[in-house]
Amino acid sequence: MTTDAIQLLRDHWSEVPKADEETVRRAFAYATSGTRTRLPRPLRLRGVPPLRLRIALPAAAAICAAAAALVATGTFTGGARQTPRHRVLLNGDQAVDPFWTTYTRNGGALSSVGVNFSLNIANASIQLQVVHSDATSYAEAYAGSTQVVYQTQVATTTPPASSSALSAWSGTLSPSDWSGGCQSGLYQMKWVAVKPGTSFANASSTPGNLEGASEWFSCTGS
Amino acid sequence: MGYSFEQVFQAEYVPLRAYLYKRVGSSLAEDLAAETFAVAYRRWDDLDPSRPVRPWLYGISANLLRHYWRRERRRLRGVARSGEGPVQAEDEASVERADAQEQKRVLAAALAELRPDDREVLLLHAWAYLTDAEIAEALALPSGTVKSRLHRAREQMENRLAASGQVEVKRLTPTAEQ
Repeated sequence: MTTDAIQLLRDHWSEVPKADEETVRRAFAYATSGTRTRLPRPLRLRGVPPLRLRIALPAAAAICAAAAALVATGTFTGGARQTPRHRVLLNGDQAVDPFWTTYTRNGGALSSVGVNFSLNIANASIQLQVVHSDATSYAEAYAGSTQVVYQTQVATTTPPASSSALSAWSGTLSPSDWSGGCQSGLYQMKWVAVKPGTSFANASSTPGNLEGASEWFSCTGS
Repeated sequence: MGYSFEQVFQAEYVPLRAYLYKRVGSSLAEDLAAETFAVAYRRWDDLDPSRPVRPWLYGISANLLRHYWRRERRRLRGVARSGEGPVQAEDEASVERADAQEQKRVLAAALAELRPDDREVLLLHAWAYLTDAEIAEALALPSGTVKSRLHRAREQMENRLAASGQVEVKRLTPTAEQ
């Protein structure tokens, strides 16, 4: 067998347990808590308790609630047939879970995306877009240009009384409906939810509307 | 700037944590990943929007990791010492598992023997998938220094692997490395 040392390193250290949602949320809360002015010495050398204890502080706990809407969970490229819920809120004042997605893959290739909205806007209308980037890394995708490959507008329904949300919508997107189908590069879902009587174009300047985006994801699974 | 801190966190936390997990193990990786983003958050306004964010993040984590180089080496030596002895079973799967385990031990031993600076460059390339240019950016090193460290590290690893008889390594010439 002839092998490259770099590839061997990758092969033998390929198993990494997935970060659970709580860990990601705590990390975000810790990073953005802003309570420290500098990093004096390594945490462990100073005898500082592990992160999980430090961020149990009330201030950090309060931030966790807000961060819950911001952080993504699970893997980003999705090796499994289905990934856990993902969510991210970029602009708006809803505390938790306005939007989440479920990716279904078949042999690595994306076959469908389940999209769910649970909003605190009564009778909201939603504009949902899928954008495509030729970038191969997330950072490049965020910084680079994108092309809208799918767009739809939907009206929400009133959820059951047991729900804390005022409006909801669920649907399934199929890559075959997107312009160009399933391409290489990265995709992202962007959405805007508006109150009745508000246009999507003015959503960001109107208080009470929400907008957000999913994490970047691959369609081909490569 | 084309991206927000939240977006970068969302995109980069998982891969950064995975990289740190391979370097220092589970609980410390989570602390260091969080601390990396805490530093990034504090310095966010200093980030040059024309520069890629990934090398900047891994540069922060590299500075944090420096405090744990000894610990990392002890950990690698632990992996190198570990093992379950000769395989008794003769089925093919058992033999393959034993070979893989032995190969990992050799790799860990070789990593432990590398100069810390060389190991840093090698693992940023192997586990964080950074290019030479990105590593140079992350560690604030001249590109030539990164190339020479990477070449030296790979050569040392390959010599060790070849000596172990575990694999016949695909040697890269200095020309190919450039």
